[in-house]
Amino acid sequence: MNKILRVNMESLTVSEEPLKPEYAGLGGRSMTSIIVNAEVPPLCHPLSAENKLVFAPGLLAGTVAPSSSRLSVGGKSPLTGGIKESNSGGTAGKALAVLDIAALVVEGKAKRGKLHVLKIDAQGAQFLSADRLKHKGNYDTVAALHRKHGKNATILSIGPAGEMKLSAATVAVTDPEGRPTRHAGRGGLGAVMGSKGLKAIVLDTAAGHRPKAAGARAFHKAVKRFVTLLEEHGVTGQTLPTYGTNALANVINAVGAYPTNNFSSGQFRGVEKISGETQRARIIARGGMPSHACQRGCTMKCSGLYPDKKGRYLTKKPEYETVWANGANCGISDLDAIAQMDRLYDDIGVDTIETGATIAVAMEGGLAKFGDAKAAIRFLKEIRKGSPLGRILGSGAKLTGQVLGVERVPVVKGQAMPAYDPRAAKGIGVTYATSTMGADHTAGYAIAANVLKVGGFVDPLKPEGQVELSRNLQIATGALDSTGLCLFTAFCVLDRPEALQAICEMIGAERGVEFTVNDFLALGKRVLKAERDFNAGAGFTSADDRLPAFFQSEKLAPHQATFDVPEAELDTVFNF
Amino acid sequence: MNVEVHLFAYLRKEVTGLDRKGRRIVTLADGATAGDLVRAIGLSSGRYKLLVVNNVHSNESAPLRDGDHVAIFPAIAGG
Repeated sequence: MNKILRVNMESLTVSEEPLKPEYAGLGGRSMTSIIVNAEVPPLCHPLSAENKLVFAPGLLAGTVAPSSSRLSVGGKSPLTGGIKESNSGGTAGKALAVLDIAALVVEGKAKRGKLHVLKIDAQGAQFLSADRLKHKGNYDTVAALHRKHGKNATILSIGPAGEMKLSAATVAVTDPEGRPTRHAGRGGLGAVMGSKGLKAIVLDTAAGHRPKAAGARAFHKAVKRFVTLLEEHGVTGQTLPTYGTNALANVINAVGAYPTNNFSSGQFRGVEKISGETQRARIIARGGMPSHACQRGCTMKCSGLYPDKKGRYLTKKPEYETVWANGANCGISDLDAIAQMDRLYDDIGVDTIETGATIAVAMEGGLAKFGDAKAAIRFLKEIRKGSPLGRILGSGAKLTGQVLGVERVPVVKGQAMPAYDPRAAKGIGVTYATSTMGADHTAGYAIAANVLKVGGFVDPLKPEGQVELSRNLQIATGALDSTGLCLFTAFCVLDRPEALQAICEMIGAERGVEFTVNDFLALGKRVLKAERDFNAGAGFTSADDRLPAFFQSEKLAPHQATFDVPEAELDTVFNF
Repeated sequence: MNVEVHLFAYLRKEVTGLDRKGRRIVTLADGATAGDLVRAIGLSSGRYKLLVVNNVHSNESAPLRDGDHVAIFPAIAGG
C-alpha cells in the first residue's frame, strides 16, 4: 500500500499523498496509533474537528496470507478520552489494500446537520449525499448502498448510535455476504465518525489490484507453512472452526471467572443454556451455518449464521463476549433473546460488550431485574429511539452507573470490562488496568496462559507472574495488530514459535526487507510507546492504571478471590 | 467414592453415558486420582487439554475425594 488518503469533511475534498518515510513499515494499529499520536492534539474534544478518524489495513492485507484482512480504526475515544485502536474483521482490510490505501484519514467536521457518504474506487473518491440514509440502521444502510454501488462493495457504516454520537457507537464493516455483522466495536469511534458527518464509506475494488509481494516465492512458502501450523493446532484447527468463540463459556465458568449479575459472582447457573455447545446444536437444528469466515481466506472460520425459530437468518452467530455481556452478566439464559439483541446491536451500531455491561449496571441500579431479557431488548430499542434514557444507556457503563447511583461499575479508563473477572484471572486484570485502551481483553489476552494453557500456564489465582505475562502479550499484540492478521492466529503462535517465524518471513518477503522476531517485538513496543505518549498528553497518569476499588475488597465466589497484584508492580508493565 | 465428571465440546462425543450437559457420576476406589478417572471413562490423555477439579486447574496425579467435580476440556480459546 503506497498512499495515504486525507478526507476533509469541511471542504469535502479528498487528497492523496505518498507514504511518508517515517510511516514506512507501519500498518494496522501501528499506522493508526502513530498517526493519531502525531496528528491529533491529545486534549482535543473527541467530537471536535481536531480529532481524526484513521482507517488502516494491516501489513499483510490483500495478500493470500490467511486471516489477514483485519481493519484497524483509530482516533481519540469519546468513551475513554484516550487513544483508541478498534479492530474489526470483515472485508475492509483487503478492500483498502487492493485500492493501494495504507491509511484513510478523516479530518475536520461537516457543516452542522449534514451527513455524507464517501465512495472510493480505483479512479478516486467522491462525496454523495446521505440524506436518505439519516437515522437508518446499518442493515438498511448497507442494502441501499449495495443497490446503488453493487453488492460486492465493502461498506463501513454507522447506525443511529453513531449519528447520535453515543460513546458506545461502533463502525460496522460488511462481511463476505455483504451484511454489517463485524464491528470496530470498542471505544465509541462510531461517534467520532458521526461527529464528522460521515454516514458510510463505500469501497469499490472492481478495478483494484492485490499487492504483489516483493519476494513472491519466499512469501508463498511462508504462507504454506503458516496455514499448516494453523490447521495442526487444536484451537485454530479444530475448536474455533467447530464451536467458535463461545466454546469459552463453559471453561471460563468452570474456573470461576465468568462474571455473573454485574460482576457479583464468578459462575452462572444458566451457563449450559448459552454455551457454545448449545449454540452449535441449535444452529445446526435450524439449518444455519455453525462455521463461517468473516473474511475470505480465513481457515479458522469461527463465525456462523444464526437462524430464528423458523429457520430464517436472524444474525451472525453471537460471539462469546456478546453472549456473556447480555447473558450471564445480566442473568439472562435465553440464547434466542441474546441473538435478537445481537441483531439489534449490529443494526443500531453499539458495542455489545459496553452495552451489555451497561444493561447489567442498569439492572443493579433498579431499572430492571437481573434475568429480564425482555427488558434488555427494550433498553436497546430505547437506545435506537434516542430518548434521554436511551442516550444514557448508549453512552456506556460508567455514565449509566453514575446516573443511577451504582457503586459496582466495572470499568477502567471509562471502558467496561469484558468477559473475565480479574479476581479469578489476575493476568487479564493486569491488562485491564494498564492497557492504553482501557479495560480491554484483546490488548494482552492473559486468559491464554491463565486459564487455557496456551503459551504455558500462569496460575490465575496468584498475583505472581501476571505483570510479566501481560507485558509480553501487550507488546506482541501491538505488533500482531499491525499485520492485519486475526488475533486468534496468536493461539497457534504462542504454542509454536515457528508460526511467529512464518509471520515475520511473510512480512519481510511482502515488503522486500529483512524482518526478524526482534523487529516484530520492536514494532509492538513502538505502538505501545506512541499510545502511552498520547494518553500522557491527554492527562492520564498511573492513577488511571488501576481497577475499581471493589475488585480489591469484594470477594468473588467460588474462590473468594480478590485482585491483589500490587499497584507498584502494575506500574512496571511498561518498563521496557 | 463417587465423583462427577463433566465433559465439554467434542469430548462429549468421545465418552458414553453422559447426560445432556455432558455429566456422569463415576464410582472410583478410595484414593483414586484424576488420572484414574480419565482412564475409567475411556478417555486417553492426549485427547484433552484442561483438567479442572472443583474449579481449580489440576492434573492427573491429583487425588480425588467423594463428591469432587472434575471438568475436562479440549483445546479451547477465543476472545
